[in-house]
Amino acid sequence: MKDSAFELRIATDDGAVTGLLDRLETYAEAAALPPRLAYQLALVCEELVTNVAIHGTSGLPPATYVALKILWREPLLHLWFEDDGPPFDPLSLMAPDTAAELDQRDIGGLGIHLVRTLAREIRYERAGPHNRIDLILGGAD
Amino acid sequence: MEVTETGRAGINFVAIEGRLDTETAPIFDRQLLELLGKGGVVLDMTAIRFVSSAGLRILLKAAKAAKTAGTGFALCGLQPAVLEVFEISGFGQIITTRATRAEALAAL
Repeated sequence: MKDSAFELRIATDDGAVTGLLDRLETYAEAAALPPRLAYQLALVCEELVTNVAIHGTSGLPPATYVALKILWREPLLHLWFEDDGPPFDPLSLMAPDTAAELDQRDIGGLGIHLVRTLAREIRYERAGPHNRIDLILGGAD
Repeated sequence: MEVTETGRAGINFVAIEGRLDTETAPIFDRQLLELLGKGGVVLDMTAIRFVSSAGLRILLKAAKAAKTAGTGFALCGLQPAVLEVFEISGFGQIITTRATRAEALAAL
């Protein structure tokens, strides 16, 4: 099985997520990712990139880009994200109360919760002016 | 978005397709809230291949709007990967979700 890699640098100024999922679907197809993993890849990328585009750009200094690197080495999919926004550790957020009733359910925090739940491993580090997240999807449940 | 009659007064079947993501959620949100203003909705998600948290948000909003208005809101036809996202989010317990249109309609 050949390794399959993919790199992408997204400017946050022109609707960062526009076209991202199409490109990831094309990659997933070319790399012959299992469907469930292809879904998780798209979901994790959309959540993390959207997060930077929405929250990272309102801070000081604002984020100007998100870089994404993907490496598929069956059965694991490694993802690296980097942005130049203000320090933000998504792992520091409280998980939403997923057992709450309809009226009490809050609209926020779900994206990061999904990412953390689906990731087999996830790490955050602040490296100089950069936020870095690396995470691993796939493998046995 | 395709709207068809259910045969029950005040409730429509609404079929959507594609992705329910950051880009498309605002569009579905507007259309869905408009429809819920007129009556109940069974949302057929058979042709939805992707739902992110942006999509979950508008479904939650729709469920709350339907509850406030006293109309009904139920989902059907969720793909397995979408169902997994629902389970992680705890949405299966707060939004009526069934396998088929008929079962979803019967649950309202």
